[in-house]
Amino acid sequence: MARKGEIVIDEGTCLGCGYCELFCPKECIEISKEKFNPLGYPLAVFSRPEDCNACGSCVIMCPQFAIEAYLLVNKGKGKEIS
Amino acid sequence: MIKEWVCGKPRLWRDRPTALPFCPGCQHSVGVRTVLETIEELGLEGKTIFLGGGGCVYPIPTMLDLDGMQCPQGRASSIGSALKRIHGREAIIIVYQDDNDGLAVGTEPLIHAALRGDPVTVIMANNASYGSTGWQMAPAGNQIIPPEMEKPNPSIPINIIELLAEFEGVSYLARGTVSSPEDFEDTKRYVRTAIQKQIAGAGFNLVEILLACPTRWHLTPRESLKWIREEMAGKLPLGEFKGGGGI
Amino acid sequence: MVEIMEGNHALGWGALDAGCDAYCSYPVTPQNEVVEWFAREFPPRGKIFLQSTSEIESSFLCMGFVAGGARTMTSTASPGWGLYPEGMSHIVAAELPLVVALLMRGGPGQGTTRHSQMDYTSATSPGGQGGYRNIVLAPYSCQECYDFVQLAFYLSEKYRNPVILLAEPNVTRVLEQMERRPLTFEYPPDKKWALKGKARHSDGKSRLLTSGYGLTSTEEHPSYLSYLKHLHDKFEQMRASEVRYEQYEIEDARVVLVAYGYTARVSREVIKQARAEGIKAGLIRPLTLWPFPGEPIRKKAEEGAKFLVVEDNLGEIGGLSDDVRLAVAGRAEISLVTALDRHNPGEGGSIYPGKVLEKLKGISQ
Repeated sequence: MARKGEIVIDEGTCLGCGYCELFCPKECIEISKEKFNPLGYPLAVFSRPEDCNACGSCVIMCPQFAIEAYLLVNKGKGKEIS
Repeated sequence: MIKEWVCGKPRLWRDRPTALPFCPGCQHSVGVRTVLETIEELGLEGKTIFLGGGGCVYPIPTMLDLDGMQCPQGRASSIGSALKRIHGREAIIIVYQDDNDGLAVGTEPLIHAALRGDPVTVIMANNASYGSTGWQMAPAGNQIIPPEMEKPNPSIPINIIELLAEFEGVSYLARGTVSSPEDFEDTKRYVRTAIQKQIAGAGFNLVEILLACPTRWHLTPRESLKWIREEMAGKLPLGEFKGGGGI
Repeated sequence: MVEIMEGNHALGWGALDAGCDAYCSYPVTPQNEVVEWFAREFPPRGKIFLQSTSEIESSFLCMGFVAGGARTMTSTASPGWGLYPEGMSHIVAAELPLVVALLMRGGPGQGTTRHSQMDYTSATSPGGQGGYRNIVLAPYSCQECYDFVQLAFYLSEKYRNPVILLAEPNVTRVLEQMERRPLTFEYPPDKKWALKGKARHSDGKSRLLTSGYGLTSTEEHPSYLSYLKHLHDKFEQMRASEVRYEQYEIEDARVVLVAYGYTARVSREVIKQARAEGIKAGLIRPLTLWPFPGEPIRKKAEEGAKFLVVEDNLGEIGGLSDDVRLAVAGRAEISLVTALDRHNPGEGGSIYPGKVLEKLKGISQ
């Protein structure tokens, strides 16, 4: 049974450095060529959510603390879902 | 189906409505994360006093939910030594300074805190540059690189660990990076060992963290991490150098 | 009980009786006896003695001690004082208390190892960056060393600002009678601002100390301007409330001597001799060099008195004579006895009553 994860990237603080894209082991994150944050930096986007397992690599490498990672679990059972 | 929070911004870092005052790819916040997560895991937030140095790290103490001080450049180790003598085991003293703070104007405080064996934990956040004053070289070889050079080669600061290793009062010295999640975990382990040495009253301890400064190195964030691995870590080797492998 | 001791040691006993917890300094002649006193008397009483590695370090180690809430003292002499201004400026900016004893030796540079009164300006108009004020107390006897150091601790905590004790080694190294009777002051309550670890504060909230209020906004000082206003008000209050001075034979004086420290003792002797010869001379002795007692001087100037400033300093480089000039504001004649009037040309040269009396007679015609 695989862990199913999800990340949320704060667009107001992401400065597009690319560490999250570099270190995601499942290639779920991309630095966009079209989306920019209000300060003008290219944004990191959660482009391939299907393979995310909430490993937290992107979270700890982000210099802006812009990413929060979540695990999606069955309601009430606390079991991981596939 | 519910969402269970796994990890995110360190709990001891206060909420900020805007971007943190660091350049894209700067790793000071990642360096501080190794400390904050360790403090939280060891249940020490009520006892910790976080002393920040000058330069780019100056705003950090204002952003933490810990007793702290913005120290004058170079002096955090003196202030930390004195605080440790007042509070003893009742407080955990963390000094977070970067290379231009601790290895230039701050050498006297740092060396003598180590010589006295004051049990404080110094995190030497080494990013080989004077960022906030417009990129002068770190205290080492060339001091200024002319702005017209395209890809200047930053010089490597002094090896403080080699300098302090012989002092009897020094209980733990280690150097790590946060150039990848694995490196982050290694460095966090060093920070934990250092803090445990302080808890045991075992003497001065220091963890040097090699950090990227893409802006001042004129490299992209990825190139900066590569430069740390290939150039900096070549001259400033990684690992535990004294007191490693437990208390 | 009256004892015989030197002023250097009286500073120590005064600090102890004031509840000093920590002392840190770097040895430099002629204050080594102060360092030795603390090294001998503090550790057995469970108090902190730390010899620093330089005077720069003294100021910052002290900043750490006071940041942790400890009642702290340091001492130095002129060449070491040259290294304190950076630290003093930061300690003032962070609004921390500290007592600094400064013993003056001949300057500038390495100077002499003997007395002078040449650090008046650098103590009262401090040289640290940004500009600020410290209350400066000037003891002239062993008893005053003991009393004033206790007052200094109180004032520094009342205002959260360092207080300087300015003295000369020919006062502090002389054995004199001293009565050890501790003074009581109403210190402000709890140091809520001290750093201890947030769990040890009664409200459980973390504390931040900084010397950079121009770069950092806090609840207490939300803007740089609000912080400047706060400092301004603080210094204004010191000026209004903390002036202290002593007058001797002043009522009918036609010539007023102004002096502090050892030259004030010389001046008292001169006044006795002058009065015996019919010259109406008096003394105004500032006990606080800052805030300066301009008021009694202005009053005598308006009465038409002449002034004789007796200061072991160079008139050209400012000092007490500058403050007297400011107070007099052109209303009266000011004459000087300076270091150039010392009795011999070596480092031990002093201002003696003979020379002062000579000048006094000269201006009394």
